Amino acid sequence: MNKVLLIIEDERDMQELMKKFIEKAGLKLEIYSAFDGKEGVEKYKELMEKGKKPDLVIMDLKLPAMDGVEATKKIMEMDNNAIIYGFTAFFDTDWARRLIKAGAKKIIPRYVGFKGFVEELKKFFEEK
Amino acid sequence: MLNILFALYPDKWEMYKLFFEESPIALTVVEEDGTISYANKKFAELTGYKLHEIIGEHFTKFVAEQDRERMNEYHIKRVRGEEAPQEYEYKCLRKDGKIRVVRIKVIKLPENRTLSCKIDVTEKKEVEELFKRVVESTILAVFIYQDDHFVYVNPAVEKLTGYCKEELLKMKFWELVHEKYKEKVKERGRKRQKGEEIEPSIYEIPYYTKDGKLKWALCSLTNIMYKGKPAALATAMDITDKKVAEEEIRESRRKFEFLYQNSPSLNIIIGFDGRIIDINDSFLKLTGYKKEEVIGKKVLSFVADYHKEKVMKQLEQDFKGIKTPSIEVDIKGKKQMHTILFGEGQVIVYEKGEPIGVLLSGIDVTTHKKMEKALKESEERFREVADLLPTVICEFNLDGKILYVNKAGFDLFGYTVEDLKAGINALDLIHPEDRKKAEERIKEIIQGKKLGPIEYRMFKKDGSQLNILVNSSPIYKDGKVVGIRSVLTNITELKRTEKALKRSEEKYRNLFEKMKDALYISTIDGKFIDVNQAMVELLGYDSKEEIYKLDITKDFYCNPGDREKIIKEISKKGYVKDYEIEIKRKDGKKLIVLETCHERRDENGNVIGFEGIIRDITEKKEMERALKESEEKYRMLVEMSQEGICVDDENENITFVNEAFAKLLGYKKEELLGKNIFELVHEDDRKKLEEEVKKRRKGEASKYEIRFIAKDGRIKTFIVSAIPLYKNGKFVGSLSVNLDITERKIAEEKLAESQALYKAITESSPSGIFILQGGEFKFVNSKFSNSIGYTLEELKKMNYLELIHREDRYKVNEAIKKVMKKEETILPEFRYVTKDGRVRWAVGTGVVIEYKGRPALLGTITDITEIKEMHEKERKFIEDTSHYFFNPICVAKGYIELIRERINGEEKNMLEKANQALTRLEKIVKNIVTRGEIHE
Repeated sequence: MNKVLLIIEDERDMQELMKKFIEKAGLKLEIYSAFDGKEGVEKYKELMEKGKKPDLVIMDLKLPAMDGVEATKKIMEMDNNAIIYGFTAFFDTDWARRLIKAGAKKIIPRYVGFKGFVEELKKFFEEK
Repeated sequence: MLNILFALYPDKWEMYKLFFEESPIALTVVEEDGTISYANKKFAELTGYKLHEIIGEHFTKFVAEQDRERMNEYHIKRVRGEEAPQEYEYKCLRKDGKIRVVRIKVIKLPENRTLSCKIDVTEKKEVEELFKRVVESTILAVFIYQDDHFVYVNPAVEKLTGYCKEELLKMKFWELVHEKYKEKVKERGRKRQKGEEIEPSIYEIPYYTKDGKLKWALCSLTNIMYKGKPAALATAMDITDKKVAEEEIRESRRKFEFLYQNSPSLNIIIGFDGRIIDINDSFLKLTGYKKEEVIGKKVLSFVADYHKEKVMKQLEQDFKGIKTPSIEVDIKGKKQMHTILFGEGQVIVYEKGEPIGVLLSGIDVTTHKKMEKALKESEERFREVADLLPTVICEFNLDGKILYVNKAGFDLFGYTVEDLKAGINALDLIHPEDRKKAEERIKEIIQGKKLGPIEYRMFKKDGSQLNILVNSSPIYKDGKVVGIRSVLTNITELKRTEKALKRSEEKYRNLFEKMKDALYISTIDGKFIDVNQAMVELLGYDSKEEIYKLDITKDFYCNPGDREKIIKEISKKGYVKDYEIEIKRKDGKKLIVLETCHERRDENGNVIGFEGIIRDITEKKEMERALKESEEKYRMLVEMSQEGICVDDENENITFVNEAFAKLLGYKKEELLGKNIFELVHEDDRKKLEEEVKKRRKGEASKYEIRFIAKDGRIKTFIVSAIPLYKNGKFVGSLSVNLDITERKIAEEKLAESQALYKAITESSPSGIFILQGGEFKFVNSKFSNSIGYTLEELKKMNYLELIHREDRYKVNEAIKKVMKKEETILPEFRYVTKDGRVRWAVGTGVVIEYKGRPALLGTITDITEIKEMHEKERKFIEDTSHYFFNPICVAKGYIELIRERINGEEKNMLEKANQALTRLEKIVKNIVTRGEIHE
């Protein structure tokens, strides 16, 4: 069974590129998308109920409706074992620190590019 | 960070630069590894290092060893993103090794950098502690009163008054003062409370202690502002002992003056220069002079010319303190001559411990002398009468040579005056057969036997014989028989002769009665058989008859053995003269008298009794004793006095100091004598002393404060009370009483310094300082007042929470509760609202103190609004930069990456270049966001 990845990111280009690079790297993942914080939380809940609890969540910080920190808190409340990685431009801010505080395990800075991003994913899933 | 600001606000670069570099707060930026990458001038000043010695060093180099581990731990926690205290105190280690206490506030910057703001609070801490210690531990009572009440008292006030602090703080400041001074103290105190300057500021006040004792205090007052209102600050010390001693001196002096002036004796004090220093009223009354006519004049100018030499000689002895005999001197009175008998010896008179002359005490014997003169005249008259008598009276010496014979004698025996001058022996005139008998009788008379008349046959010059009845008696001179007086009666004329004798006896009797000295005749077995009226009065009996009943041994002499002693003395030489002895009056009172007495013998020469004169010297003796006691008392007082007493002469050379004065200045007494007082006075105070001496020369007493230099060079501050001294109306120097107030002075100065410093620090503090009690402001400094826009008066009417931003009230209230429980000393960041409605950010500190007997919060607040705003702008900038740059770059690079694999050749190269350009841009943005620097 494929691993499940939930990407919460408001920019469609970013969503698309992340998927393309995952695919290109040959990672066999079942990818779900959400475009704001609120939707992300709902999607996580829905997947959990379907028995498809995401193995990893990629979370942006600056999101409409509900920001990344709030969304992380909600997810963690739902599932204390949830694994969330921040992938954000706000990597060196209090905001990012608050994300960690809310339960995120790691922050992947935007400047590492998609290659760097995929490397992190590979590392995560291989270890798993 | 500065670079970021510069990038953002390039036009404000100078302002920020200035803000950091010139900030009165010491600022440093510490890197993740703990090295200092930025420090301002204030930090360099705080640590004593140059800026280039600081940059690149680990921050713990500037931390005292005991705080190093703790501070480093905080730093590591901050780097790890863990919680660490943001504001606390630590000890800063300076380059010179000195430690300063510093209040620090740490603000986190990006990339695990920290900005530290530091304020040096060492002096504030020390001064607070010093001020408290000085005031609380000084033995000087210190208190403040305001609105008529004590508002501050130190422990010494409790000791001084016997009331405890709580009791005092409920009292009005004048309540303890003696009734006589109460209104005055109240009136002056109220003026002082209004801020009026009142002189003098030092005075002595009597007051009551809690247990009702009346005491004296020396108070010093000054106007101060206390809690924003005028008040009086006073210091006081107990001077009761000094006041009591002063009172005793006055009493002793008053007693002496009373005795001296009111004694019936004639008292005169003669200076060693022979001039009269003082004379009592009795003396003036007798002589008719006014005091000013006598004082300062040579005593000899009042002495009769014929007595001047003997007085001069006796005074020389008196001045040397040699015991001199009593002396009779004729003194020229205003109207007549007075004969005064001065007693034996003399009393040396001291003034301020120094001998100034002698006190002579005498009694007026003019009347007595007149009587003596009268007696002499009476005798002359007697001789004249004797010459007129038909009875022969004749006196001859022990050899029988006739010395005197009356006219009747010449007439009866036919001799002339010339014959008498040529020498006639009485025995030659006696019939040879009667001569032997006559010679024997003379011997018996010489031995003191009283013999009856005898009849002799005698010859006239012409050889004719006469029958003469001869009655002889001895002639005494100075108690010795020097001759014989005989009355020769022609027997036919016996009756006439007897009458003449009787008259003579009456004359003597009259004299005996009128004498002012007490005279007596007594029997051998101790009974008086005759006394004169003076004796009756002296002994206080009602009549002579009462005296005749007395047993002399038991009832007359105080000591029963005295009579026997006197009789023994008399038996040696036939008499005693001026024998000092105590006798009893009828009322039992003792009298000290001088007794002069000789034996009485019968015609057979047996001692049958005594005749004597009693002179009362009780009063004189008593006066001498009282005078001596009084004098002794002064000397004791002067020597025992704890205050330095000093006497100097008209040239300010010291002539006397007491032990205390010498001790205060660390000298021996002898070292100070002869020294000029100006040498001992502080150079800067000599002019002041000159002015004070000028005042004294004008006759003014004065009190002033002056600094002396002790032998070891220390400065001693004395309160000097000085009076001018006069001799014969001329200024001869000063007497001063010196109270050492050095300790008090030093304490006062320290207190003033400490207060001034304390106030200066409080008022110049860059932080707002306040005292909060029960939610109300009790004190705020000007910084606090200025920051918040309200005056203390306005703040007093408000609850402090009204100043706090609504959202932060709970937080601040909780923090203050913790401070009051002593669990916390830091107030967290909070917002406050100024009077004009601006919202500002601040941090604060708080400690619990005792204020007016109740716990209060002493707090500080530091406005951090500017730092906070800057921080916020910086955060926004970084977030915006991240968002607007990284996302598009990331997307662009992602697509290029995907396309690059699908094309080849020139196009691929071109795309690669575009990718590289984006990577460069990404790097630049990263540097801006993470380091605040614009470069690749």
